[in-house]
Amino acid sequence: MDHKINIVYFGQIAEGTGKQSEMIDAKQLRNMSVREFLHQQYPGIDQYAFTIAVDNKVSEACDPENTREIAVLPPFAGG
Amino acid sequence: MFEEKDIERYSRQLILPEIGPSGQDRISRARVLVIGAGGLGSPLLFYLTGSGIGTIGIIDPDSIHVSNLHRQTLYRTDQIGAPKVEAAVSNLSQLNPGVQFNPYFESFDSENAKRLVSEYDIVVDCSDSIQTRYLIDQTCVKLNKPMVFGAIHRHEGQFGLLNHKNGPTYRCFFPEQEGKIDTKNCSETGVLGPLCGLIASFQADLVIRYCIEDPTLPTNEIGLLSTRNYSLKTIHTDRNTHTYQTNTMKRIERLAFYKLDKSDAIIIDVREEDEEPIVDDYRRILIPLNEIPHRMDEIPQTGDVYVICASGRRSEGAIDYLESQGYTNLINVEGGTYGFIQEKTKNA
Repeated sequence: MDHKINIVYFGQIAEGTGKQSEMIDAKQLRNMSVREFLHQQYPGIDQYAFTIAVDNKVSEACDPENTREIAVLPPFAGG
Repeated sequence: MFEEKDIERYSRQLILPEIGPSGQDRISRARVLVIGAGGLGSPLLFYLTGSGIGTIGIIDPDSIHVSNLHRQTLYRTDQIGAPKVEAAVSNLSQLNPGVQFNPYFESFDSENAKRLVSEYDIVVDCSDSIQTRYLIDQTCVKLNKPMVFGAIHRHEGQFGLLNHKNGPTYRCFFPEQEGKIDTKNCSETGVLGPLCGLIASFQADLVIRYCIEDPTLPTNEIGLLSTRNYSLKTIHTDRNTHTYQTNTMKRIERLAFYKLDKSDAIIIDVREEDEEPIVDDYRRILIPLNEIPHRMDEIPQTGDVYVICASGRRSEGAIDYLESQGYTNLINVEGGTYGFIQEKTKNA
């Protein structure tokens, strides 16, 4: 069975994608970075600042076949 | 200093093995600066005051508004209109008269940041602006002070102890990314009071554990809490030394910029067209940040050129880019148009 990766969206990014999370095929990330993939899926996402965490560690790089979860985290302003 | 008369007051935390009399003594000697006495600051201050922190500085430029009361549990209806810091000190002193409070009825900005932070052991960020958060982060790094940050967006919150034991800073988790849409605060997106209480509780816990020198304190992670599904996730990273390379960018303080004879000055405004606050006190060349690469022929390469935005952040990004293209004559206006207006008001 193909390896799947759970992408979790937070804050304004979740509102922009309309999703809290989604499962994708790992092979979708074989030839592009996570940021490129997100841009391809959601072209407006580049308007927002966000950090990418791969398996709970901040990283722009991802080994798709060995990744379980990617979190997309914008900084929050409220307090 | 922790005294025998306080044993009963603190008895329930004193009996914790990691606190005891020595831990309580450390708490009572601690100096904590709380930046922002709003949604996060309100519940946080209750817990810090109750725990017996020795000295608490509270800085906030706002007065109490009726729309604050659903979540800012520190204030009462009969205090509407009063400065938050004054009402906070009045109410908190009744909770624990043994705590020394230092109220600052002003904004936390680049002019007072260093002076205020240097007077305290640890800084708690309860601000409601990304720009302030980056300023707190930068100041704490410069002065080598730990920072407990907290931030919320609708039903989610972030928190963590940063810049502690050479651990990561706020910028290590969230590097500044110029030209992006500004993240909105609670007055724009809405928030439920209990989320503020939850995030503030995590912050207070981190502050107290820092004060007692808890060896199990996490130093390289932040927490992400969602009340949508009651999930709590931790995200890790390491200190990124590249985030704080020495910045040689030329700058002008906002008071100096306000006083500058601008009749012949070249001022590039990198905000969007019609972006507020509108300032018509000087002539400016409007080139929104994203248009800079295509309109460089409008920016002189000799003589002083001042670059301004709303806060001084986007203009920094513009200068970074232009310097990479060979410019050496650009000066960043600190505090931006907001700073200019504040100086204008102060000096009117």
